[in-house]
Amino acid sequence: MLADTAIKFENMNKYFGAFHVLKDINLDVAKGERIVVCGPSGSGKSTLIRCVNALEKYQSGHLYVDGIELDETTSTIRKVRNHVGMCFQHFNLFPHLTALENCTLSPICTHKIPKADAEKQAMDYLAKVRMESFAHKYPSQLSGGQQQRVAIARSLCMQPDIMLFDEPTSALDPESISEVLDVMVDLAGGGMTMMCVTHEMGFARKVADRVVFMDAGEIVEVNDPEGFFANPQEERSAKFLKQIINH
Amino acid sequence: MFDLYFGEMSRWNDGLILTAVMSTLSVVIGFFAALPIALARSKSKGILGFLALGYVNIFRGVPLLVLMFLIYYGSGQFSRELRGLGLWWFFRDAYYCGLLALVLNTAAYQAEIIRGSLDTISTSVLETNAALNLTRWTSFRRVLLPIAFAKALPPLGNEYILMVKATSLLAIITVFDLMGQARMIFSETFDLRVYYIAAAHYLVLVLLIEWGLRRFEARIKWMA
Repeated sequence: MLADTAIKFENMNKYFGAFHVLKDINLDVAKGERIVVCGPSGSGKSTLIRCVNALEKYQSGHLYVDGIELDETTSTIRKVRNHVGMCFQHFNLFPHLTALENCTLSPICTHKIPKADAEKQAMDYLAKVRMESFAHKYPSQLSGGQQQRVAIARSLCMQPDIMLFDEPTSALDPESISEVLDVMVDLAGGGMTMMCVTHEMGFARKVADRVVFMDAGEIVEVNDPEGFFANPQEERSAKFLKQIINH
Repeated sequence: MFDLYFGEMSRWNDGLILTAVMSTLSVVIGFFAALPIALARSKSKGILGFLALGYVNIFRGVPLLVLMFLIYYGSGQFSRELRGLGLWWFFRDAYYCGLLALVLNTAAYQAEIIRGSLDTISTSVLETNAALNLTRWTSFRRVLLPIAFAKALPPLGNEYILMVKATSLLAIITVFDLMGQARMIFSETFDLRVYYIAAAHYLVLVLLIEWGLRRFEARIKWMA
């Protein structure tokens, strides 16, 4: 395995009961690479990235994250999760904590960072997502886009090498979408390894190094964004692109 | 009516204070006793969950008055053993026995309330805690418990009010709570209006608690 590989899927298979969700997945993600995963709903794209931080188990094959092979032991899972941050579709901020407290909870409790240091670091990341003036607000006082930016800052406070985004903008209004995407573009510019499930094709075009197109649990096409959008190699990708552009 | 109240004011006040103290203490101690039971009910499918369910079923199933009799009068049968264990000072006292019965009872109800609200927390919260690498203990103490508490506050308030009224059973095991004082004054005057005064005291106490709970709920509404 190459030293500059961040995530490596090797003949990975996953089942939900009898249902074969991920079929023979092979994919290498280099350090600093930005991958956009797209595909029709139910194609397994969320499940794919949720395997990376062990929110989902896989049944056969191999998955390496930062050189660590993911197995089902708690110690491995905890080790891997120290390297991986994740943002969810519905932000999932803790409703009883302020934006700042959301960001400092895990650094203080998991990484045992002194409170003052954790707060200073959190303020830096909140500034990075342009939310520093909302540090003492509760999630219910923030818009969706603001909440998602806090959620991004919260993940960054864990100082991950890899960031996973599971449809981070699909619960947002258009204005909020662009404020969240701006933050993600900044992050991409900073050299973070990113795997992002999204239907924002503009973002994919602008930021992605490669686009992974999935359908029915398989990786159908891996292509650079230019090639993928202008000249998809597979019939299924072409059909998908036509559908999402046609409305 | 006035002389029944003002003439006996210090006894009414003593009774009111004792009722407020006994109900508040039992609800607060019962809450902390209920937490591990609720956690076991919600998360454990093994022996702990089974024991917790057994606890809930027994103490919700046995009437509070029967429980008080069993603990206060029943412990007398074991006075020698209890002396040996150094616990007799506790069990010979009607106040402690009454409090214990109230705590055992309310813990069972509160455990079910908290279990219910723990179960309504969506799996996405658990996934977030996992993704942030929180330990199970941190996840429970810092995230699940505060959210569950905020959700459980209205039914917990309801339980508090029920307990205020349930403490009136203490009078039967010789405790001088509001009802105990009322019985005493009645035995001296044979004036049924004594119980109107007792009822008014309970009503005022419950209304005060209700007002306090409403303010507290409004303050933490953003949490749920």
